[in-house]
Amino acid sequence: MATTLLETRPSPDQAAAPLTRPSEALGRRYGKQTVLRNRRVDLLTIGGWVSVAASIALWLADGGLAAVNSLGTALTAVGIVSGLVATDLMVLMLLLAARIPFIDRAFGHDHAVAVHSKLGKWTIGGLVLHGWFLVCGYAAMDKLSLPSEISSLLSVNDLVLGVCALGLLAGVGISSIVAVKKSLPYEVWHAIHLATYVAVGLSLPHQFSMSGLFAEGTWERVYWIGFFVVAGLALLTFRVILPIFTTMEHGLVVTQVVHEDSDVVSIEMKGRNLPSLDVAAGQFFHWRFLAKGLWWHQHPFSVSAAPTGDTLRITVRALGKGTAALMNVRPGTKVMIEGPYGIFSDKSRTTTGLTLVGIGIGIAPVRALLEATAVVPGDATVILRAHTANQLYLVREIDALCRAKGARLITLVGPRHRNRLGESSWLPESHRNDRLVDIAPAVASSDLYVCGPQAVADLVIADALAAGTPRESIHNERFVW
Amino acid sequence: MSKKSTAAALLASAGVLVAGCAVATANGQTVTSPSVEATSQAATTSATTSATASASSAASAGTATSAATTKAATTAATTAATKAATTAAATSSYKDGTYTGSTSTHQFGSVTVTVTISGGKISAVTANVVDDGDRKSQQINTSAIPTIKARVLAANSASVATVSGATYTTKAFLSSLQSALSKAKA
Repeated sequence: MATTLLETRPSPDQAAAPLTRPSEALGRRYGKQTVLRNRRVDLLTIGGWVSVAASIALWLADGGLAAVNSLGTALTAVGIVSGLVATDLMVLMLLLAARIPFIDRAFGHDHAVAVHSKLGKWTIGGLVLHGWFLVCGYAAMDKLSLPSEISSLLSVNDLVLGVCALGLLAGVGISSIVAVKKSLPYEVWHAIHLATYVAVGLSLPHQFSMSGLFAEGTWERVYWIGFFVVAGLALLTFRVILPIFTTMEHGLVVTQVVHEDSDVVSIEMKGRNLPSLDVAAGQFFHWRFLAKGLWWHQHPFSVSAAPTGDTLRITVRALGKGTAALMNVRPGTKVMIEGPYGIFSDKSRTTTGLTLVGIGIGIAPVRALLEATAVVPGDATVILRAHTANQLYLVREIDALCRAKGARLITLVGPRHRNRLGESSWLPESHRNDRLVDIAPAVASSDLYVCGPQAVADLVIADALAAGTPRESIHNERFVW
Repeated sequence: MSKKSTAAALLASAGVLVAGCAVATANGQTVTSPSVEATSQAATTSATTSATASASSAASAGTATSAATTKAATTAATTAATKAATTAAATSSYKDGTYTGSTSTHQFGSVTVTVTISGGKISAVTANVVDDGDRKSQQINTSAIPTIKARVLAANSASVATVSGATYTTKAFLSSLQSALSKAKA
C-alpha cells in the first residue's frame, strides 16, 4: 500500500493574519484554565492521601496500638492497618467511579483511568496482606498452626463472605489486565467489573461483625459510615439517577445511520434541549441503544461532531460483538445516555499550539475536537493515521475543517514499520526514520491530543515526551477502556 | 501533581496521623488503668497455653453464628479450659464456688456475669446479657459474648483483649466479671 501524504497548507491570508493579539488572549485563557485544573487535581490528591491517613489515625485514636503487646497482636495490627488502607482506597475508587463532575473535569478520563488502575492494584494488594497478616497474627495469638487457624476461621460465615469478596476483586483485577491486552470482549469485561459492587456488599458483614470499623461509640464508626454513605449516594446520583433524568429530558432518537466503511457507521441522533447537556466536542458518553439485542450493553463513544442545536453524532467501528451489532441500528431507536465525560476537549488545553493525532477510529473524536477548539492559524497540525486509505474516516470533513481553520493536515497510511529487532513504530514504512517531531515540528510547545488503539497511541506519546512536550500537555483518550 | 502538592499531601497525612496518636495517648491513660489493675489480679499466664489454643479456636467457631452453635462453642471452650485448669499446676488464688458480679450497664444494655471457680481456676462463665432491643445490639452481643467468655477462660482472668466491634459489651462484661472475681478472692 503506497503512502499518501496529503498536506493542506493554510491559505495565505490566514497564515499572514496578525497572530499576536488573539493568540495572546487565548494563551492567557488556556494558561489560567490549566492552573485552575491543576489546583483541583492537587486538592483531590491531597484529599485522597488525607483520607487514607485519617483511616489509620482514627484506628490509633481508638486505641489500636494499645493492644499490641506480642508478636501475634503486632501481626494482627499490621493486618488491620493494611485492611484499613485497602478499604479506604476502595471507597476512593468508588468515588472515582461515580464520575462526580467536579472530579471528572479535574482528572479527565485518561488520568482517572490511570489513578483507578493504580488504586485497584493497591487495594487488592492491601486486602491480600490484610488476610495474610490477620491469619498469621491470630495463629500466633491462639498458638495454632496456620492451616488449623484458617480452618477455624472458615467456620465464621461473615469471614467466608469476606474471602469471597476478595476472590471477586482479584478476578476483576485480573480481568482488567487481560482486557487491556485486548483478549476480552468489552461487554464481558464490563459485566465482570460490575461484580465489584457485589464484592463490596459481600465484604460488609465482616466489617460490621468482626472489624472495628463500625465499633459503636468510636469515631471510626462515624468516619466509615459517612465515607461509605457518601460514596454510595454519589454512585447512585451520578451513575443511575442523573443518567435517567438526562435520558428522559433529551429523548434522543436515532435519525440517520451512515455506513462510512464496511465496519464503520456514523449514527446521528436528534434530541430535545441538547445545549443544556453542556457537551464539549471530544467528550464521550455511555450509549445504550434501546433495541432488541442491544439494550443490555452500553458502550463509551466520543461524539464525532461538535453538537449543534438538536443533533449529536457518533462514529463507531465494529471492534467486538456488541459494537458489531450497532452496525444494524435503525433510525427511530431510542437512546439512553450517560455523560458527558472526559476532558478530551477544549477544556484541557494548556497552550495555543495544537497537535491532533487520530489513529483509525480514533479519528472520530479528533474531528469533533478540531471543529470545536480554538486554532491559531498556522499553529496547528492534524495527523491522521490509518492502515489503508479508506480507513481515514471522515477525512473529507476534516480536510474542510483544516482549510477553514488554518491547520495543517497530514495523513499517514500503511502498515506500521517494524525495525530489525521487531519493534513496531507508529509510523508507516515511508517514514521509518522519522519521529513525531519531524512531522509536527512544533509538538514540543503544543497540546498533543492522541486517540486510537492504546499500543499505537503510547508510541506517539513516547515520541512526544522525547521531543520535550510537557506531560500535562499530552491528552490521550483511552478509546475503548 | 507538583512537588509542592506532594509535600503538602504527605505533610497533611502525617499531621492527621500524629493527631490520631495524640488522641490515643490522651485516651490511653483512662482506658488502660482498669486493665492494669486487672493484670495485677491475673493469675497464671503460662499454664494455660493448651487451653488458649482450643478455647479460642472454639470461640472463633462460635463468632457470629446462631444461639445454638454459640452455646455449643461455649461448652467446648469451657471443657477445654477446665481440662487445662485441672492439668495445669494450680497457682490460682481464687476460692472455689460460684460468684455473681455486679450488673454493669452501658450505653446499649447491661451485663451481669456469674463465674464458677473450681480447683482455684475459672471453670465456667455465664452472663445475663440485656440489650436495648436494637437488632444491631443483639447481633453484637451474640457474636461477641462467646468470644469474651472463651478469652476469659483461656486467660483465667479478666485481663483480656477487647473484642473489636463490641467495645462497650466487652468493657461491661469485664467490669462485672472483675467484681465477681474480687468476691472469689475475698
